[in-house]
Amino acid sequence: MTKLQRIKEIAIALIMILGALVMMTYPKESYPLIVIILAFLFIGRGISSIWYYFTMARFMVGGRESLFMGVIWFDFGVLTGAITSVPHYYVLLYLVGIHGFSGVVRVLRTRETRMTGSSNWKLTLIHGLIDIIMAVLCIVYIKQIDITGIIFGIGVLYSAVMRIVTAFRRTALIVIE
Amino acid sequence: MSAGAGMNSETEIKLRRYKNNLAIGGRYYIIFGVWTVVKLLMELTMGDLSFEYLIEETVKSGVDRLFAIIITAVFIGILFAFILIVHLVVGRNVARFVKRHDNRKRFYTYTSIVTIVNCLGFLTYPADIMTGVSSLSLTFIASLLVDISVIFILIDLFYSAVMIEKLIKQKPAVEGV
Amino acid sequence: MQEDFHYYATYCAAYLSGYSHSESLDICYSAQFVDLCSATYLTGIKAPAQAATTQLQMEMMNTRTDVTGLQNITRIWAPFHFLPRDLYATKDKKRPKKYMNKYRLICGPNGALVKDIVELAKGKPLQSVGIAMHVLADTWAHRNFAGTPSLVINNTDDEFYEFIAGEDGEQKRKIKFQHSLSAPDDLDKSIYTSSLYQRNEKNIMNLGHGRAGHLPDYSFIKYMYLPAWDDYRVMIKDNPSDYRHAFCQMIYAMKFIRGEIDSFETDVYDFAAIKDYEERIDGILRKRQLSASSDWKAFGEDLSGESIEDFDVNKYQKEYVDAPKDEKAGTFYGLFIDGAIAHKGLVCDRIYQSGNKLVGFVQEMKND
Repeated sequence: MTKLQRIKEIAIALIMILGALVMMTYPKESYPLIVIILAFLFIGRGISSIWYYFTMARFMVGGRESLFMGVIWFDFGVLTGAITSVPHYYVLLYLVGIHGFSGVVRVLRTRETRMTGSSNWKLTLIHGLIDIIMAVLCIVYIKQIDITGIIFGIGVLYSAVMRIVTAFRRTALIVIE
Repeated sequence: MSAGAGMNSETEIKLRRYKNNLAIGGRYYIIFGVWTVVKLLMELTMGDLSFEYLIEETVKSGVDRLFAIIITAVFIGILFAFILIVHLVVGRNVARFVKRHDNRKRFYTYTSIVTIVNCLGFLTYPADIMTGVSSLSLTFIASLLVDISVIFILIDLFYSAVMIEKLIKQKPAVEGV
Repeated sequence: MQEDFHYYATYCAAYLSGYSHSESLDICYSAQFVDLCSATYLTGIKAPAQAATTQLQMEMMNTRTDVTGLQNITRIWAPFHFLPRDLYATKDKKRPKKYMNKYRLICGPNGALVKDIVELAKGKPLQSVGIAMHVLADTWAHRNFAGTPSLVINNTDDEFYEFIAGEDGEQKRKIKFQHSLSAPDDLDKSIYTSSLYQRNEKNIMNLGHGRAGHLPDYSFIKYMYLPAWDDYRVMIKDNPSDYRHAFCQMIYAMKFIRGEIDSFETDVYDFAAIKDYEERIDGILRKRQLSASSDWKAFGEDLSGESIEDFDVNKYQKEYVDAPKDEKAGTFYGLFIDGAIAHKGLVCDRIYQSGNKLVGFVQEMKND
């Protein structure tokens, strides 16, 4: 990473740490804001992918994937934004679902990371397992919003720390000259 | 250097294109199926048509609450399983059609049925707008996009399959990629 | 291409075109040095980083893929390793400028730029000849890929097939790709390394021929694949034939540069120069091995009767470092640097003049 990219990653991590502290201090008030931000990110990703299809990928073998993925991301983002009006613990369940899913994907990708010969697979596995554990704990304590908020906040703190660690880590790339 | 006239004849190029369209279409039909289930789950847990609402409606018909919960859960479980199975069966038939081309009848039958069902379902969009059930919100547009994509995939599956068979008939001894 | 062709084969071609042993060494050293002259190396010897002709893996990992970063990447890879074939190429159906800019950077032999870079090297030091020969050779090996990160151009599907000559003719065998840096390519089982699929258009893994791994750099291999950009046409890449053409075109080009021929035209090859060595050269090109360096070296030493020293990247480092500032330009590296900057400037300017801003704006540096 360049210095600027490192600074950007650390800045994002600091925002996440701040967000985690806010969440742990004011669990009921912070959820909707998080969801709105997520919604916009997904919608943006979807539109970007659809635009990419029409300007570039439609001329490429197998380019339709960009279109379909764009539609799914867009729909996902819109749905994410539409659920802010629901009770807090449902929103939490949704966030837990994202973390849980993300954790499962990370654990499944450990095998792939290992097969590529990368040494990062242990980190990927640990990160995935922690995501899953956090999701399970949130479900166990779902009715106790304050405790769940603390657990979730700890999870976000952990992700922020991992982001800082990754910012200083070298990632193996296969570059064929 | 590019391939000889045989491999890059117009027929061969078209065959590759349609096979690629089928492969991607089949894959994404399954992915859209999974997404449909995920979306329904999210709407049931966090939307207006929630589990709670369905259970209450079932209780109103005079059954015991526990029984209502079981019935609702079983019904939703069957619905989800049905959606997933349909998408998986169609998707896998597409993959088999591309690879082995020995399931012609099944491919066309399944694809026809789901295409008709999806097109009929699509007709509810204008109806909902005209009757005021839905408004032109972002959620509506997102759902519309998803359904248009699915119908596009299905029609393209048909079209690509028909074109592949037509091309194969024109040149029986072709080599494809 | 790799050291076997850029260093040893270029030596052989230079000698066959009429250069002496020591001149051939200077040319082939410069040709190989193009693959090693990175900004990191140049900065280490306090040389201008803008003369960089390649990027190290570490440099690539640290490069941003924003507009400026992409321009910096393209300014190195397009001029030195993926010389564009046709900067004014068109497609049968109109496509957005954004797409066409990348499409027009696709590398291939016998483009107008090949003539330009060979003519640029005429009358210049041997280092410039070496640079031109490296780039000319790469137009054959790296054809059909572009020297800019682009999924829509440089992606391929996973179905690669190798044609293996046998007693009953050519057998088609499916190639298996692995994505591990540490594992070597297994020629017997057709297992090769390539870069992972990356969906992002500007991801650095979508630069050049990463998706085809080292296949373009092996002279023995003939293979088939489906590139992303050619509207579902398959590509059959016959490396033994391409490398032979590259070798004979280098001989022809160097004869022009030496003044033996009046003009250089594309699609002309000096096959006559190798007629006494056809069998041997064909044998080297078709031998299934990860590196043909020892075979080319032996051939070169037989040609000249002289010993060809192994390539040493630091050979001329001391000369450059120890030289006073006003004498650096006359050192080996100094001459190489000038040649690289001139070459880069020419190619980037041509790209820019064609209306393609993927290399940004080029400012010509004049030596006072």
